[in-house]
Amino acid sequence: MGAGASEVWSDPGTINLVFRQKFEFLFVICLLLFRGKHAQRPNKDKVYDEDDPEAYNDMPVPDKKSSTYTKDKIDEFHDEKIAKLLARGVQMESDQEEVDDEEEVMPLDLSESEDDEGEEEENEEEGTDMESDLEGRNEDELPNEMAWGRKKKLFYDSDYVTSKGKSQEELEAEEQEEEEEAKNIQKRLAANLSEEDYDLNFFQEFAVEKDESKPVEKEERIVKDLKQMSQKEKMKLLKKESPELLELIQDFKAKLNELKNELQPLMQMVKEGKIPAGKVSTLGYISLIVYCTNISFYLVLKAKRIPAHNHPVIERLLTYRNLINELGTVDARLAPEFRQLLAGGEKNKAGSKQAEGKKSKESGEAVPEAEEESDSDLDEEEALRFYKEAEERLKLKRKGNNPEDEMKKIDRNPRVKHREKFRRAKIRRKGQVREVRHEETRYSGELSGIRAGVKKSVKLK
Amino acid sequence: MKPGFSPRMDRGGRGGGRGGGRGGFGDRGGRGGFRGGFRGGRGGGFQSPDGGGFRGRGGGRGTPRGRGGRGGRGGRGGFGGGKKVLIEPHRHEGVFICRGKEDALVTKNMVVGESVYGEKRISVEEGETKIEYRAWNPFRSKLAAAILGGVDQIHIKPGAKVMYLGAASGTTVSHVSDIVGPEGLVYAVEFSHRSGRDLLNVAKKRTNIIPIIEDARHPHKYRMLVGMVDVIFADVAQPDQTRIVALNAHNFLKNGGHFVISIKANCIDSTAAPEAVFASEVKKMSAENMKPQEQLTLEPYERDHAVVVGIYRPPPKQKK
Repeated sequence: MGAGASEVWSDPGTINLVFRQKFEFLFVICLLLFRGKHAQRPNKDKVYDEDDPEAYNDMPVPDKKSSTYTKDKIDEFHDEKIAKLLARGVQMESDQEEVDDEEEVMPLDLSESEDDEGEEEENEEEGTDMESDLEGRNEDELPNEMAWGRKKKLFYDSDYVTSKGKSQEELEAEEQEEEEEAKNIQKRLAANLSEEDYDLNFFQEFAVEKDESKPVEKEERIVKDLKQMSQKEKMKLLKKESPELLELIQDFKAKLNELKNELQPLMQMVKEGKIPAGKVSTLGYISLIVYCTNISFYLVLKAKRIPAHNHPVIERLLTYRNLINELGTVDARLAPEFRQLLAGGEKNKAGSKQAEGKKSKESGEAVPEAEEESDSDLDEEEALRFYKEAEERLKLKRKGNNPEDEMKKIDRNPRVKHREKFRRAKIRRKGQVREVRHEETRYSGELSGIRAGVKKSVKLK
Repeated sequence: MKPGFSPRMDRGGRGGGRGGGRGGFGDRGGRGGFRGGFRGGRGGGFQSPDGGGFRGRGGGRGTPRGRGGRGGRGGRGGFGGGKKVLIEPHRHEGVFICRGKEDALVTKNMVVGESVYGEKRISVEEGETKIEYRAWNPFRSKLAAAILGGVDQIHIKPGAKVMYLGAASGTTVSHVSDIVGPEGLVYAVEFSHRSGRDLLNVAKKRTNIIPIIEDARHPHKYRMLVGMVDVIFADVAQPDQTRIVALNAHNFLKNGGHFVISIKANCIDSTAAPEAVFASEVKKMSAENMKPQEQLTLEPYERDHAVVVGIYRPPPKQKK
């Protein structure tokens, strides 16, 4: 036991060296004192009472003058700290200063106003330097009108109407302000525009840019070739480059002819009041004119060698062409009537040639000769009626082609159809089976009365 | 249906009387303040089934018994309490109709002054004798629901011996006992001890009820208590209820006796359509020598319920 205890005591980690030496010394004394007795005894003697003077026997006599005599480690720490502070020149007397030195958790910024002034000054400087949107602040407290700000939020979510709590005058004033602003913006934009912006060169520039991507040599070669090429070769190239051109020219000629010879005189008649205005005839007339105009524009483009492949006019041409083709079916049917009408018109005009002069001359040239004797008024009416009927038929025909038109509305969406069916079935079931109700209030009888004679049960066989 | 018992004819004969009764409406104003008429206070005039108007009491006194909670409730008086109401017999013998602002099915109370489950009572004084009627709530009784729904025959009538399978707390049983009267008998079979306790309480007051707390699947257990019966009413809500009814019918139902079975489709097969369940049950009955005669759904009162009425071992047809 004694050996074990000494082991523990001699642990260098728990007792410092000085202590250990003293301990050993004491041990030796003890051994001398209790010689022949239990070896364990000194072990017990090691434990002294607190006031036992013997316990301090082995302690060194403390120096009364040294600082360690009155102060422990904690005191030392504080002393050191204060000394450091003193070294930095903090007066120990003023508590206030000490507080200021510490960092406040949520300090009251009392010197705020001063700081702000400083910032403003800075801003002013910036304003003069950089022409920022704060420039106008000094004048009328408004930012530069060209400076819209960078925040996305400023440009969105401002469509709400804040008419509440505003008088009519205020609203009007606001609207006027807005209008003026819009005008200003318009003016500014207009000022930026130059003569060139109205030009077609705009397109050309784009086109050139595209072409420039090709090597320049090739272009030169083609230019050379054009001069040397024969008529046949030129045609070939033309066909290759723009196959629609020749066709369009043909079409243009034909359509112009038709316009001049047939529709123009007819329209003239309508204008004069000889025929009541029919829709299709005007429609055809207008579409033909627009078609021809578009073709001429296309030809202008070609003549100027502006590439027209991606030009919107091509698309426009296609739509009009389709439109005219559709109308063509009607026109073909009505052609004889037209001719008849025109012939009649010619006759009439011939009768009043002196009066009409120029116009009759033109129509006289245009109208093909058709010598048929008939009552012109009756014919006109008949033609018109026929025209209108044809229009109706065409409409019907078109309608028949579209499956959606023939469908009932309910058939278009199966989900809605099923829902509607279910709704109807529910209503029908109400008549077959009475709805179950529950005893919500205390039962007090049948409101609808009881008929004792009624039998509703189903007989089984 | 007995020809002499046609309610239509009956009513026709009493047309004047009824009109007179209604005439008493005028003095309604004087009693305007009367509410909650059930618990005392004077009621309006009543008319007994056999004509003649008189003044009755607006419901009996005494605490309603049976289901707690309901009985203690106050509220509006019974069937236009304070007004004239008219009691007339129903097509089914032993069942009456109380006509007032709202019509109600009623039975003649065997134990005057007692409510079984907090139902309203209407008492009529006829000279010295006092007749009391109890309202029959179709929401709580399948039989009442069937009668209101227009079932042709219930076969439960005064003097009949009825076996009631699935008696529960004895609410419907009490009305059946009212219908069969002192000459009739009701064998009320209920397996659950809990509701059996209420049933016993009901049976204590009503001498014509014989409570049997046993499983209806084992009729031999109570065979010593039960004699031959005229009608079996079954509301057992078990998947094998047709078999249960057949077992009891074989044991206790007389030849040519009738059965009334309430079927809850959900309890037989919750996955199949109710109509299909009813049809299959009807088929099962035919296999057990029980010939179904009519079927009726209890729609405004119960969901997916049907009542099937039939005859057990019908007598062979007479050759003409």
